[in-house]
Amino acid sequence: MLEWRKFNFFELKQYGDQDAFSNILSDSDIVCSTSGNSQIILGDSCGFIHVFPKNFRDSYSFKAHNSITHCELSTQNNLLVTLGTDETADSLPEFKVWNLNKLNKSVPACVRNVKTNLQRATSLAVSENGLNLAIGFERGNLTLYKGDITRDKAKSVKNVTFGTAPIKGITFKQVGKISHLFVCSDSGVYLYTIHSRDKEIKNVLDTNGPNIATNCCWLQQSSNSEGYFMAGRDDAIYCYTPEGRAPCYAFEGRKVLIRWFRNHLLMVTCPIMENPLQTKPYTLTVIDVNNRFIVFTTQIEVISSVFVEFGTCFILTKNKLLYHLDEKDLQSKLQSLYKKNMYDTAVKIAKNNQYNDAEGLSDIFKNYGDHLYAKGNFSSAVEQYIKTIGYLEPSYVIRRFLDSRHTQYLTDYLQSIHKEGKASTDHTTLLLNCFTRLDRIDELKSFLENYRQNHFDIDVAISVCRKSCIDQALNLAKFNEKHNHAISIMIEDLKDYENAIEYITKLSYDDAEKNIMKYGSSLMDHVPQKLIVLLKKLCTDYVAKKCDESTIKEEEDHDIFTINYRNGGFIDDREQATPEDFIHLFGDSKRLIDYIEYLIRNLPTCSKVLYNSLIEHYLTLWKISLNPSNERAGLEQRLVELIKNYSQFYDSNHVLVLCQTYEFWLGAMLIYEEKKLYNLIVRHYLNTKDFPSLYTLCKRLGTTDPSIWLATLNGLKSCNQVPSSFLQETLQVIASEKLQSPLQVLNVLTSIDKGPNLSTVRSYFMQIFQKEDDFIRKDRESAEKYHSESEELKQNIETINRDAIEFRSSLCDACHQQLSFPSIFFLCKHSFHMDCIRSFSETEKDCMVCRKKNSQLLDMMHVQNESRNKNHVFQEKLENTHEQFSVIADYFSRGLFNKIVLLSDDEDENRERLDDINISRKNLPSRHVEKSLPNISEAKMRVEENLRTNVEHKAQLSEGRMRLQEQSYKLSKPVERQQVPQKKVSLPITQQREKQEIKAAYPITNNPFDDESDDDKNPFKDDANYDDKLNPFADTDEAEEVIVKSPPISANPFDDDDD
Amino acid sequence: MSYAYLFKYIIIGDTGVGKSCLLLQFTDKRFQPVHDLTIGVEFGARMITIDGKQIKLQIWDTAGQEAFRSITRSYYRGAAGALLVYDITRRETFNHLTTWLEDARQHSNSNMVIMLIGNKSDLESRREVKKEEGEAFAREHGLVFMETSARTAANVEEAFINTAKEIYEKIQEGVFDINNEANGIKIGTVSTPTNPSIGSNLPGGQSSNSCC
Repeated sequence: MLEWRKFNFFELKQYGDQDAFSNILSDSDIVCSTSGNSQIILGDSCGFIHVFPKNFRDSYSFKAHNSITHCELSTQNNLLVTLGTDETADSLPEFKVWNLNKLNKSVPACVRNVKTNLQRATSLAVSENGLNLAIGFERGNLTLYKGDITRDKAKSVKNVTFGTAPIKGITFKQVGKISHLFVCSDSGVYLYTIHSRDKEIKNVLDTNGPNIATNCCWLQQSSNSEGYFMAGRDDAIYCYTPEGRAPCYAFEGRKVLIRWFRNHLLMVTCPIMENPLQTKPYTLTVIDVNNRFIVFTTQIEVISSVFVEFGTCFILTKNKLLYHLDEKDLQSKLQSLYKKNMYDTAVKIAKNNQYNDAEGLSDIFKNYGDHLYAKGNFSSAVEQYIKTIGYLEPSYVIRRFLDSRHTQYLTDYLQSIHKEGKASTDHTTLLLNCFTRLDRIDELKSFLENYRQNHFDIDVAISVCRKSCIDQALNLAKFNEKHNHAISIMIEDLKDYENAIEYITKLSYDDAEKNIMKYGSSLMDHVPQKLIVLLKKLCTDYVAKKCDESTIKEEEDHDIFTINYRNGGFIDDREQATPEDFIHLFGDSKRLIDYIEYLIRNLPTCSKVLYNSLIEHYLTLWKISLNPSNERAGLEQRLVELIKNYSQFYDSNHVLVLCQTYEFWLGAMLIYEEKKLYNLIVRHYLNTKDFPSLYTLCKRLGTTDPSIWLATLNGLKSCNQVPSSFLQETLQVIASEKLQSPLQVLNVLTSIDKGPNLSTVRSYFMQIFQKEDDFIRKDRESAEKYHSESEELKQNIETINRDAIEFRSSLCDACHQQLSFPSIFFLCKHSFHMDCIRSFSETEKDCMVCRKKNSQLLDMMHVQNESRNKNHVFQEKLENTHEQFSVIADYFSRGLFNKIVLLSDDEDENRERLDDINISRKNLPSRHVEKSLPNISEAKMRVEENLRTNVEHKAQLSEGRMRLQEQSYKLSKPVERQQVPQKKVSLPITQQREKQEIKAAYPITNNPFDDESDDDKNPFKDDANYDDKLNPFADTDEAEEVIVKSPPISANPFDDDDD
Repeated sequence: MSYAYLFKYIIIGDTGVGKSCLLLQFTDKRFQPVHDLTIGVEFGARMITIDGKQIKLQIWDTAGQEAFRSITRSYYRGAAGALLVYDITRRETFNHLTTWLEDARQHSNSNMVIMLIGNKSDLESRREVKKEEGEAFAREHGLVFMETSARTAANVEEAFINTAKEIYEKIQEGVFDINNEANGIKIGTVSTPTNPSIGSNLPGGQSSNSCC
């Protein structure tokens, strides 16, 4: 016979303080027991009641009866009911009610004492609320005390009979206001229902067979189920509800005790045939009724009581030993189940124990799966493994089923993973591979179609499908709008270019563009025409086909405004491809040209690249068509037209290089011209010896840019066989436009190999000489003119200085009326009425006529004076220019080194001013310098030519100047003292220079700094006059050195400033 | 839960034919592949609707093992319907049907509706008992026959509901004395607010002499 499976989830342990019981109970036996409200109550054979609290130490005892048979606790009021005999000689049966809450010196208050029937009581029950009390007797009758048990109410006592056998157990069960009284005896199980005071119903729930004894009962106290009344009989434990029968649990043995402990049925059985030799005759069994197995069973000595109290279970033996039932922890329970490979039970237990840790459960499933796998039950194993999804690493399972025999199971597992949404791309790949391996195309299809539920990576799916069933992959790609994949499948796998391009035309702009970029070249190889049409569209006004149709249909339903709005928005937002991105796709120049021409025609703006490539491909075609034909001519024409008219569109440098590489010189020339690179054109013509073209070019362009002639001439240098007429012409233009100095022209001409004969160049040089002559003559003339003018002026001054001046004018120069007093006469022989001059001017000090001229002069002098003081400006100029001499010459010419005294506005200002001017003229070479200004500029030109030879000079000059600065800083008073003789010296030097200047052809020789011959005039050289003691530097060599170097400084006209 | 009638069922048959699984499938709509022995008697309940009336089915699932026969036998009494189950993959369970039927007829009331069920119809490959044999047996003994599968839930609902219908029809025909709770029929709390007092007229003596 198969019975309960057995496990050992509990341990029975002796509980701590064993002496406590034996001490208190001493030699008396335990007769009855009860528990509740965290107390264990024992009644002993001596009539004592012992109450133990949780710690078992603070117990108290009191004498209740002469002898006790039963005790029960009404938990709500903590009332203890004891049944026993009184202390009279008759030992009459009685029951007492004790209030355990009212302790008086460890004796609770006895609130009631009632005599009962004389029959032997076999059972006692009290309801939880303390309102009902029942005592069962050995003849099957029962006394029911209704109402508060602490009060005497004789009327509410009722006797009821239940069969004939002794009543073994009574239990009250309160359901709302209804009290159920379960009564069990060997005759059967009865229910006595007390609805109200008068309405009481007696029901028979079960009747026993005669040989099956009912020994004990217990009311299941369980929160979830309704709470069965359990009666223990020899064959089984039968459960009852007030409704009737409930399940029964078959378990052989004479039941001594039944208890309900934490969803477990706990029972103590004893053998039906007693064997006195047996030390442990009793059996303690705990059954897990939910899972249908025995969780603990052990042989044990005679048990007197079992308490389910304090949340645990205590077992008290007749020998007063206290045992405690220890439940093992879940892990060890599970371990013991694993050992027996009872994984399903383990799962059940784990779940029952609110073992909500899913990870722990998955561990069980994994173990279960492993077990099943080991047994070869793969499908069940997979079922278990599936339950671990999300916790167990899938690779663990996958590895187990990778064998090709297990593909089916693997597929199941992987499908579940996908359903859970925990799949990685690798899993998808594997699954799809499994499908294909198993030829489960239908499943594959349905899997793919439900991809939303299946949560897989479409990219992976497509790539897997491509290997096995391309159609599926294509559909998948199309359906999921994975255009890349769809197109790549069509092109690479199916070679279905037509459809591919069809497909692309249906895509949105972005996708279409991207895909064309990717697959354009292969499409170009196979369906060039269609592709080009598409490309043209893309670049101009691409609209996805699909959109077109569907939106139009939809829009028909909408009102017109939205259509307009949409269309408008669509056009505005429409993108256009950059056409040059597609150029690389074209292998054939003609197609490309067609394409670009179309775009240029249809697009408002095209990029330079586009034009560049258009030209390039025209050039290729041009190059290919070698033999001159109509085609070639047409191309040439087209090219020229392009290059000429579209110069702003293309990148001229690029096109130039193209023209050069393709040797399309016509174009190159056009670009050169455009870019004004005339000498390059010239060079080209010279290289090709195309003199007529060169001539026409020069003619044409010479008017705007004469330098082209010069370039031609220079180019001719390296070229022989130059037609003399051309050379002549060139020289003519150079001469007339003064493009180059004759010397250089000569240089060029001499460098020509087998140079031109004299006749060719004669006219040119003749012309040059003529011109030079003219120039010299003109200069001379002007020199004469200035000279005479200055003489005149001198004369004038003389006159003013010495002679009397007659003021003869009788007319006012302002009003041209007869002069009348008061009037003013100016030295310039202008005269005015006093009133006139006042009306024209605020002051009477200036001649109104001359004032303008005078003020100009004054201003000029002011400016000069000012700039003279700005030494740093001069220095800067010197340093910045590479032609210091010309700067100095310029300064000389402007008389900036001379002293100019500006007159203040005195009464006799005119006179003094003129005086001063005169003096300055006398003393300083300023006039001469001014007059020789053209010479100087000529000199400047010479200087330019001889720049290098002068460099040393300038270096000296600037050095000298620097020394000067140094010294002017270093020398203080001693130097100042010496300046008196120095001033005297200055005059002869300048005078001498004057003479030299006139004589010398080059003013450079006139450079005062070179004039070291005047050493004797240097005051510093004059040792005799020099007082050593006055010189603070005289003692040192250094000072001497300074002095030695000073001569040029003293000669420096800058020193004149000091006065 | 209020109901118009309460029918008591009992499921009997050899051990391992799938009685508990049938019940679990009917009450909880789930299948437990691992076989848990029933030791003693268990029960389940479910509400169904017949002819617009709520009917509560209280189903007693008995242990099939011979050793518990004495225990289970006491539950026959007071059942209005019985599902006699055999396993189509095990011929001996079919062979034991006669014994079961005798037992049932002996211990229950004579009007009890008995439904013969060939379970595990999903295991067609391992079939040992032909459907025709089952049908023939049912015809012979005046039973209703049905093949079911607790695993796939095929015909499970129908088996219970058809039985209920038959009982209901018998009630309508007046075959059952619905006031006698020993017939396994109880009139619901809705229609009869006060429970009829029938405790004392139980046929206690009938079962007391049957012990084997």
